[in-house]
Amino acid sequence: MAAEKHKAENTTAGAKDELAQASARPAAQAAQRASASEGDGGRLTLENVSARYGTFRAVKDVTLAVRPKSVTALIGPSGCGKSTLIRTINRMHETLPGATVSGSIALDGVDLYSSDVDPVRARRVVGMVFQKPNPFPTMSISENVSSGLRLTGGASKSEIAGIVEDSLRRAALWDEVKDKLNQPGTSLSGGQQQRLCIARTIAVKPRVVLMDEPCSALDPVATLKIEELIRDLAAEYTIVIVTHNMQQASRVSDETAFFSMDDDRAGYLVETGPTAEMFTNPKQALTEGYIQGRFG
Amino acid sequence: MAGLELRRTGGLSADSFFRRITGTGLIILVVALAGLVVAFVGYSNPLWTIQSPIDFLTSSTWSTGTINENGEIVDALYGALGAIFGTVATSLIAVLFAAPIGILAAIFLVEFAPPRLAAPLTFIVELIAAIPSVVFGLWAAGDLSNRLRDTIEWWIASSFGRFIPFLSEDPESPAADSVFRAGFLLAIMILPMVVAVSREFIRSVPISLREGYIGMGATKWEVIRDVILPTARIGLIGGVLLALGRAIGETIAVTMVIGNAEGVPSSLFQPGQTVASKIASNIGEASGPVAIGAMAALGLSLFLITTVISLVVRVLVRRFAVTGGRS
Repeated sequence: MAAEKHKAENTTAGAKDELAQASARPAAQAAQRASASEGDGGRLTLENVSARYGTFRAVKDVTLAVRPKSVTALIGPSGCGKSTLIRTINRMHETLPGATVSGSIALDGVDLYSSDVDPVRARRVVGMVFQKPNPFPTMSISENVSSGLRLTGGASKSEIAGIVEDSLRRAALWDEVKDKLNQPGTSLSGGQQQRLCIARTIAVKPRVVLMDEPCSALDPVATLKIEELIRDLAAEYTIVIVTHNMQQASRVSDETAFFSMDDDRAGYLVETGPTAEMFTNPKQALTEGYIQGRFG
Repeated sequence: MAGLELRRTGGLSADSFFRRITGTGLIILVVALAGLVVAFVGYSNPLWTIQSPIDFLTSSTWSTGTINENGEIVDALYGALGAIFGTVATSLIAVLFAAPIGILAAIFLVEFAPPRLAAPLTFIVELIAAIPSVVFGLWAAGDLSNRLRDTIEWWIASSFGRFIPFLSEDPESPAADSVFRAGFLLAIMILPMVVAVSREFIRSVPISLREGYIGMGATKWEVIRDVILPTARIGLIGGVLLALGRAIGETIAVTMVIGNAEGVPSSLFQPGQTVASKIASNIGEASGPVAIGAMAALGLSLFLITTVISLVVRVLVRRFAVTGGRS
């Protein structure tokens, strides 16, 4: 054990090389597990992403490749910038006053931060599920699901009804709500509300679904349901999930990225790799310490 | 376990003491309201000996009558229709202008104004709210009234006056005072209240809902239209209702610009009166139980107007809440 730890510390110096390899490694596995619909895309490439609130840098130089149609978990102690990072992917971070992003984030080769990209349109291909279920209280269940479609426009009433049903089925909510589609979304239980928010997100057929601690406000049973759903959705969508819960990361994700905080309180990526490897044999002492519950 | 003392101590517990204190506050409020209504019904009683409440509400003639050789008052008729019309007209005009302008201003303050600008703007709004009515009245009587006559009033009259009743004006000799100008002045006066209340309710729409909709690919305008306004709507309606109450009761400023003419005016651009302005301008001359009774009846009708409007709005709000405001 002691020897192992020593070895891990030695490799810290080569962290940069690790990172470079980390982005190459999943590619091989992706080929192995490649789904038939790989062509639809959903590959995210983050390069030197930094995010600031005013002058405070919350995320520092994150370079990370996210495989299409897989689940990537972002884990790390509180305040390490993982929520901030995930919010840079759908350009949500910049909606806060004084918040800025540098670096580049490419989705299937298109830089989402290019000056000719409309952030509003970017958010339609990069959907987001939030920490607290947030169904729109003045909209019914079906209106919640169709809200994105109505924003985009162009779909007929019958098309919308079809997509609402399909999305609710995929979110494993249809059987529970099919008889009360016109009731307010807020009438559902917390877990149902969160599945409604997932249905609403996938209704517009995004390529990427971001989930910012989607189960932190839910009980264990509801959490389990959402986790099963995440696994199912990974067949069609690229999923990036922030979680505090390491068991959850190990249950749902294919890849895990571990973040920590620097002396200047800026979050940075410590290492990334296939989840099984990260949890059994992390390269970095810091990761090992966190995963074994020594801090965080 | 020995020494663990859990028995109730005697006397009034802090909770029940506090409950009594707060309950007393409410009782005082209810008693005051009941006392007011009872007193006004009592004051107005002498009036009902010479005419019916129906006459009071439906006639637009206000005549104190004459005294015959036996010292009795004859031919007196107190009809408040003109004043009631004026109250409803001025307060609706006020809300018609103040509600959209105030809600838009509140949206700007919360959603668009940079913090450096929002704080001084909010202060200015509060400053307007602190200006006494009589100052507004002086402003309107001195200068604003003529400006309104030559701009908005003239434009409305020349555009719609020919088709819509109550909106015509003789371009040769516009009236010196008008119901419309009183209503517009009220709009300015209640604007700060609409802004302040709307601002609070718009601000209280949780950021999680805004971000949820932004995350769906909504523009800022779509967030305001589909999430913020529907979510805040009950508060917005409440704010407008509160402002309406102020407009209905506003007295001195209205008295100074409305012209205090009897009867239902032929046009909003003619002088008129409101219930409150009528009380203020007639109370000095009112003598004898019947005339005082007429004043009390005016007060009761003002109370009736606010009650009816509150109930109507309450029903509307409940409807809104049930259907979710959409569909």
